Amino acid sequence: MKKRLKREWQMHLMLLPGILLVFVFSYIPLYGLVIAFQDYNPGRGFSSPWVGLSHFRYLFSQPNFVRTIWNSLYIAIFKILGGLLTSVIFALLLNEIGHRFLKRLFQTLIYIPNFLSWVILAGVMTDLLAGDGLVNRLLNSMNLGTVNFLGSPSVFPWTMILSEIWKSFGFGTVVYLAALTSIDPELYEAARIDGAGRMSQTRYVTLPMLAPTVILMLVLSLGNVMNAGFDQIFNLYAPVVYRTGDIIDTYVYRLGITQAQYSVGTAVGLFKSVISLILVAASYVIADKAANYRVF
Amino acid sequence: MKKKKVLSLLMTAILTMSLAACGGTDPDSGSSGNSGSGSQTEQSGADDAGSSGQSDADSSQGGQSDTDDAGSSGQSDAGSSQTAEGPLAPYNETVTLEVALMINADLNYQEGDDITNNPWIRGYKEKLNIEVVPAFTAEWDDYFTNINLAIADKTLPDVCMVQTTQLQQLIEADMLYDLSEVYETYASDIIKGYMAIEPESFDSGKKDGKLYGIAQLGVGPIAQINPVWIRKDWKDALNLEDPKTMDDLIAIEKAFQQEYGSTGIAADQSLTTLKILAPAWGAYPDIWIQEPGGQIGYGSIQPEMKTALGEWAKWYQEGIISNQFATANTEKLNQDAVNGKLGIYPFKNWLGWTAGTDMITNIGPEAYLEAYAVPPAAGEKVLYPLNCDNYTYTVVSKNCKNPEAALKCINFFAYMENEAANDGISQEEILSYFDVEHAAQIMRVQDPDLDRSTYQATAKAIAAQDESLLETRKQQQAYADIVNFTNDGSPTAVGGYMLWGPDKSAYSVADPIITAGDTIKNKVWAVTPDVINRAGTTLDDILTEGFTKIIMGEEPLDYFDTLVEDWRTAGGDEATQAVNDMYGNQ
Repeated sequence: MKKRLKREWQMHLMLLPGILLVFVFSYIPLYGLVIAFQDYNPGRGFSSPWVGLSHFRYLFSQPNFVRTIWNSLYIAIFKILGGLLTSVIFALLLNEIGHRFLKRLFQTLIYIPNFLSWVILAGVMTDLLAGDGLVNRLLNSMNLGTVNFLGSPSVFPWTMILSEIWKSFGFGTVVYLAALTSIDPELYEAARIDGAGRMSQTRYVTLPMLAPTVILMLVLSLGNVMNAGFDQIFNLYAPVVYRTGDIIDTYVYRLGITQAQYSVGTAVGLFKSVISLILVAASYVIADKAANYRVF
Repeated sequence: MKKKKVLSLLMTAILTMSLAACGGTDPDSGSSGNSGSGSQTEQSGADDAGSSGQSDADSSQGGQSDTDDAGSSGQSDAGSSQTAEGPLAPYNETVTLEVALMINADLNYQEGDDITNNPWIRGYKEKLNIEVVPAFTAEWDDYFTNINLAIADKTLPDVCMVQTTQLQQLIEADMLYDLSEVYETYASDIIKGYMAIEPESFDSGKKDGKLYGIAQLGVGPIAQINPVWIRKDWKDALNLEDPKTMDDLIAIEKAFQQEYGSTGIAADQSLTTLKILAPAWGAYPDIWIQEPGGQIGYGSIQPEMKTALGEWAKWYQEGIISNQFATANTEKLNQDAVNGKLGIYPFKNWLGWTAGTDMITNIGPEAYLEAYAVPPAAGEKVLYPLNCDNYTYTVVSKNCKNPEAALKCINFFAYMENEAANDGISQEEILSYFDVEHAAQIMRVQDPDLDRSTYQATAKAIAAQDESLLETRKQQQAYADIVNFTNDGSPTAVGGYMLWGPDKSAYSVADPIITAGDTIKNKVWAVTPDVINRAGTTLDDILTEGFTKIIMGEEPLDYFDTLVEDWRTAGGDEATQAVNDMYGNQ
């Protein structure tokens, strides 16, 4: 160990700026979490009166707060899983396209929505999905009846999940495509010699080789499991779908972040971090057990 | 080969991480940016609802008024400004005042002028010998963020404008100058006259009897009367009578639906428009009122509200309101109005600047809306809810050496508005100030009677066809809008016409209501108890969500009682208690 340090100290030195940055901008501000336990007044700073858990108690005494936790988890988990599945499938399909230009074209096309802001997309979606909008007219013409995409509590979360997947799966696809190109062609060659067809090659070569990247992406995205997408939902929801569509972030927004309620905001942030930490740690263990994936 | 694989995997991992990091920050910054703009919307929303929604209109009209408004300055007298220590006495030595200035993107400055160099800044220097130095300049939302930072930093500028929450924080942190004496000595009689009209707002700047913030006031109650807008061309074509009762209104809507395919009386997800109609049933949602027992209670949970909801549920079933209302927002309503699907639209007085302008542009000059009073449902008189329209305060830092300088600047604004013309200052010069009125936003108190007196003066001038009766810039602008719209149907003038017009305009409806005193004041005035602030809109959300279900028929009308219980346990009882503690026995 000591020997290695002596040999590689330059490398470690190069780490220093990064560590410093993380320390200054990520660790020191952690001290600010104390305001979750204070009745924070910016004029008095960190010496504001200490109120202990009262902000947490207040939050959980709100009848409509607890449901937002479930809504957040529900929407976020399906967004993550659905996004993953869609990305992998599209990556596999795109990988099969021999025509270079077509492949690039589709890759670009599915990546484009990723760059659009939800504020704009929400406007487009409200028009498309309205009762007399394009989508419902299409459904009507096929005698499928009208679906209240944005106004029905049972449909709303799925409108959110599917539209988010549509918007963002292009990114994952690009990553998986990159991973696919790095799979050694010799493996396919060997598989073909053993008599494997297209499907078997995918099943026995591509997927196993892709698994580490998939798990990596999954673990990384789990940190966002409590972030069900404020921009999207805030721009699309209405009181009628609060029951299933109200997430932690939108609720807290209405609770009065606008009125500079620092303490409650911090309390919620802390709460979300704790839940996320638990989930990330759990998923890490599972990833380790199931796919032998480790960071350390 | 294995090495290569590991390497490529590593590369992918690094790529992913870095991309994910970007991706991670991206939505994040997006969302915080969004919540920022959201809060801006919220603020300008609140803003719209009250005072400077009006000043939005003002700025689009390009500033206001110069000479005396007969109505407002009845209380004022010019004499006191002459004494040496008087409200407008210039300093012998130049006094420097560090002021946080607010940028207003809509202002049309003269060539070379900007927020730090304009008629006001020069006026302070020339007339008062006060040199205003900018502490910082920022637009509305950034401005208050900067103030928050300044509070946390304990580096408050000499003078700045703050919102209610910030005022309380500053008082608590002991960062403000106690202006009690300075105000008594230096505030001009005009300012004191304004405050006498809105004593509650003035008192809201006090804590323990000491004056810390000078309420900037709003443009007065007349701007808060929300009419029912009805499309004139449709109504005329069908020869329909003016609505006298709620049944008349429904009959009009039905006729519109049959003839023009209207999709219903405007209703939106936040129930804003329906709530404007609520007083027809004696219901006063969103304000605190005296209950029959003498207690103060929340208007939204009174039995009258249940009656109103019952009616609306019937409307929903009969298609009097659109079945899409639960997801519609104001933009959607305005779209519907422009697309000819909407003929009845209960809304704020500035509708003419939003839907009004677009309708004229897209449909034609005949397609504008006329204002009507909310028709009663059961023959009783309709009372209109009034809220305090003071949202901001001018405050002076504890470390300021010349706190009275801020008062002098405030006096100066009122002086220019009311008395300058009598003192022989040319119309042209006064106009140069009021063309960029909002440049003085930080140090001004608004005349709470301005809009009403402007409306009355304009109406007189229109009736007499005599432009010489117009005394102020604002009156001239209102007059010009009315004439321009009547003559050419100009889309840029319809906003002014629908607001100031002589007949069936927002103010022609509101003026007699104010005169007759057919209003009901929110018991919570100027200062909101902490409990209510802390709940944000979540308490109201419980009700909005439930009301929507009742209207849509998803829940029976009696669900109202369950809802009230939910509201009480979620903090409603606590809020009621706090309101009674603060405002009871008054």
